[in-house]
Amino acid sequence: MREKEFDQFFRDRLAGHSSPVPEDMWQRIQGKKDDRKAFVLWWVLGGGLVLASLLAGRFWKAGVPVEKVAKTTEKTRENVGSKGAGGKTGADRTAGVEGKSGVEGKAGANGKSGADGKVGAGSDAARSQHRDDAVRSEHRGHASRSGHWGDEKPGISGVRPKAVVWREDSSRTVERVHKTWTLPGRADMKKRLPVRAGELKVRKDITIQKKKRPITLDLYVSPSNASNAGVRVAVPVWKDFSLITGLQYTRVGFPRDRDSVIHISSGHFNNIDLPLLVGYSRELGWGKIGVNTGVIFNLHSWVGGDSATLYRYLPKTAGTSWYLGVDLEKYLGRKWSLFAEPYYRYQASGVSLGFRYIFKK
Amino acid sequence: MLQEGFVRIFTFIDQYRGEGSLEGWVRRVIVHCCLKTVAKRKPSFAEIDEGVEDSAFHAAEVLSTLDAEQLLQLIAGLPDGYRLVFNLYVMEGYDHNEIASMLNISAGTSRSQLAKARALLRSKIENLQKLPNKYA
Repeated sequence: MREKEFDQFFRDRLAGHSSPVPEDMWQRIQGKKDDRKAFVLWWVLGGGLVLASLLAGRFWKAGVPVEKVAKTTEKTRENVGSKGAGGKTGADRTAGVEGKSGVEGKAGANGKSGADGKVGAGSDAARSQHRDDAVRSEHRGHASRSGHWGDEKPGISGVRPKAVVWREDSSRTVERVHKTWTLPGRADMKKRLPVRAGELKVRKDITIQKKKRPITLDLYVSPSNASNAGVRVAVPVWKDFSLITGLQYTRVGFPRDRDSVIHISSGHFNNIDLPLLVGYSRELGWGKIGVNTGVIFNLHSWVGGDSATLYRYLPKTAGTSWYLGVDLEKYLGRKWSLFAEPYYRYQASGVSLGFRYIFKK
Repeated sequence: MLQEGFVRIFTFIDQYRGEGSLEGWVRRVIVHCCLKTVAKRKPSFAEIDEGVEDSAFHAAEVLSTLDAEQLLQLIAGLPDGYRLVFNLYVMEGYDHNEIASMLNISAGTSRSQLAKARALLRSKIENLQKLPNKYA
């Protein structure tokens, strides 16, 4: 039998042949189609979450807006003595103002105008007290020569003063340039984010609907003044892609920044962060290589330590930061793997190193 | 594979523009789906020396006694590379250049795999001749 005849024999014999189709074939096909719809929904949901977080990070301005206080020149012309406040020293003024303007949080001096020499510090007198103190220390020498500190003028929206006005007990016009200092702005808030040098991850894989659902528990360590702890969940959504989210707590010491007033105090920032990442990984046999990218959204931030009361006016969130990490994983048997994840994050780049325990592969 | 093929057909049915037969389009989709699945298994196209010589076939009488299921069983017993090329060439009617393009191999390799597949099938059929009770 020649080759062509041989081939033709197979062709003819199998041409009309049909194998029986399993009874549940249609249900399986339908199920597969539904799965694909679910994948699309996952992606839409994930994209929506990332977009929502970006928008929220952009527009969510919790807390009080903080602005840079620039050099302020203030002119005032008044004769304090003629209004009955003359002769008070700086120390006198402190007592006087406290009685009038409610440094303890009472807004008793709010109604007073600058013309009568008792300009109220506004309802936020307590908040600005530390700044008042800082400037007062600079001008203590002036205060001793029978001048006094006028109260602070109400600032924008009455939130904080624009400047502190120095008044002398005379009818002369005085012009002063006050000390320049910088209040923590958005960039400073970003500095609350830690630099992580070490990271230990414990990963548990569970199976839901025949797909792996790895649960990642992250425990961070850092030799610097920052420390973290958190939980991350990675959910496979399509092929080698997964959505990663979770919650993490970060504690960072005050940055040492000479241009900022925050360097004069001790304390730390506490942060609750929500990572929203998309992960992509490729199986290499001996391990995995992947990329995790997305945003880490600061949900809430507050100050702890001795100076907590001084910074309660700070925004309640440090905003959103981009995250890009390269996940390199080397299997150490079936259950354990060693990984390193160099990552970039605004003001907080570093390398995460640790072990990963895989409950189920 | 069949299930996955039909899922693809239903997913991309709107891409069928009515040009040519629906059967041909479905066949093409199924074949590509199968090739995609097979490619994930990375089939080897290495030539396997099983001591088979491409000699004249003298067991035509045995061949005529085999039914379709038995022939399919014989084909299923071929190594991946042999089976793939045999199915594409003999059953689906692709030529060696098309097979080479689809499987990312050379046309020479395709020819060689087909020849080896035929030889191995003949060998298996001749062995059946020695077991008349089983297939007779």
